[in-house]
Amino acid sequence: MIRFESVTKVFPGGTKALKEVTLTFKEGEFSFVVGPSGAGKTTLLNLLIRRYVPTEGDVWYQQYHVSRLPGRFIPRLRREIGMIFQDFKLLPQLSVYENVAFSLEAVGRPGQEIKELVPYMLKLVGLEDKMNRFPHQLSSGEAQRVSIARAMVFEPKVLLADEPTGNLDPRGGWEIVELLQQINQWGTTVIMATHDRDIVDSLRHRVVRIEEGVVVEDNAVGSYD
Amino acid sequence: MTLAIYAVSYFSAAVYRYNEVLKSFKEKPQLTVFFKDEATEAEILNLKTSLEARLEVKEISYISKEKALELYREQNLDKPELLEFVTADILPASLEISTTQVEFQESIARELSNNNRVESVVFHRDVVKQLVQFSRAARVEGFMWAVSLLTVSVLTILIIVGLSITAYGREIEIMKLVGAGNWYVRWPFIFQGAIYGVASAALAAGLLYLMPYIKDFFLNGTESVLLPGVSVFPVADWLLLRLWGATTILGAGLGALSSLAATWRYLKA
Repeated sequence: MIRFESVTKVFPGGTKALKEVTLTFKEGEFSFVVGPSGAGKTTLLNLLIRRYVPTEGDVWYQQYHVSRLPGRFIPRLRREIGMIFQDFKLLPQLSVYENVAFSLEAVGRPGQEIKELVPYMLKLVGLEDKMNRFPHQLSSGEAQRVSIARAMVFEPKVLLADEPTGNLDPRGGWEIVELLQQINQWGTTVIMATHDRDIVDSLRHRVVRIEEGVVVEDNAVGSYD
Repeated sequence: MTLAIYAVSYFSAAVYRYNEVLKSFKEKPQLTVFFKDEATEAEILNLKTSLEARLEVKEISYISKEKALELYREQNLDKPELLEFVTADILPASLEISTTQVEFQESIARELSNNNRVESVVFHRDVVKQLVQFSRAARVEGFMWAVSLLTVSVLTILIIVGLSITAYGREIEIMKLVGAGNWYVRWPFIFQGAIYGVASAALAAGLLYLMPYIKDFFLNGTESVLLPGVSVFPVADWLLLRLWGATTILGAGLGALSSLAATWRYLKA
């Protein structure tokens, strides 16, 4: 479903974030990408949504050559591959409802559909009673749920999670991971970059370890170390 | 942008006014033939009859010395000192001739100047020539002013919208990361540019409307140095409304296009 073929990413200034990475992710998988800070985990995920373009090598999503995708198809790619972030990336001036709704408005979904879909999605993530709150009125765990709801309104085939528990307390972190597990059980492929040893060790999913831009380990049922 | 649109409106109004005056001169081409004192009324009326028969002449009227005095008095009612010493004897009799086309004036004037009873022939050849020059100047200078000021406006909007885009950088980044299309991100900025244009057009129309009062207050009715010959102000209500409409479309279009250019420039990444 997702293929990285000898991907190298060098940033301006010469920093080599990824070196000759070759990886495959299958449909319906739940995978952890682990490694120290600066190892290249975030770069790997960002290459998949075309936030970055590889310096060398190719990235494929299904039949699409992501690294050569024309600009006008990128918004569509980003709706098929949802992403959540450590800092949630919510719009502070919009309410919880509006933060989820605007992404649907952006693609011209009808108002009635938005009115039905947004509350449904917020109910799925357990925030139906906080729709009118603003991001600063939410806990970190709640803010991350909003960002999950925002990504899931398009029913993406893949959900990328970049350190989603990094800013959360352990309980909040577990709640988010349980939500991601549930999403994976619905059929969505989940790739989660994390530092959280407890979570990785407890769930026994596939673990890809990256160090200094190189994939050093890839175990179908792995642990953090 | 208000200044640029004001310049467009002002020069358009000026060109319109010049053309109106020119039109009236062209529609009613007129020459006045003044006779020597020794010319008798019978001689003048004979000449009138012979001129009336010609195809180039549209209308002709005889102004006797007495009639000339009457007209003179009417025109100078408020200046008794000018009326005191003027009698019918010192005013010349005249014929006022309208030709069917402005081009006929010169040949008739030349012909009548050779008549030994004619003192002088006055017609509007020079006035028309001057008005054509002024109108052309207003058009060319107006165009240059408008283009220069509009260019400055477009660049200013580019910078302002560019700054807005930079200020909303985080929001734009988030929108794009969650799959918002380029046009969804662009259109609020395009709308912003269009609003600048519409507001500028409204301000310029207001300025155009108020200018006669402002001018009266500061200049006490001194004639315009920029565009001599005719007064641009006050601009007729219907013309002001049309200029407002046209400049609103122009302003909104230019504002939107400038913003679009800014979004191309700053939203590429």
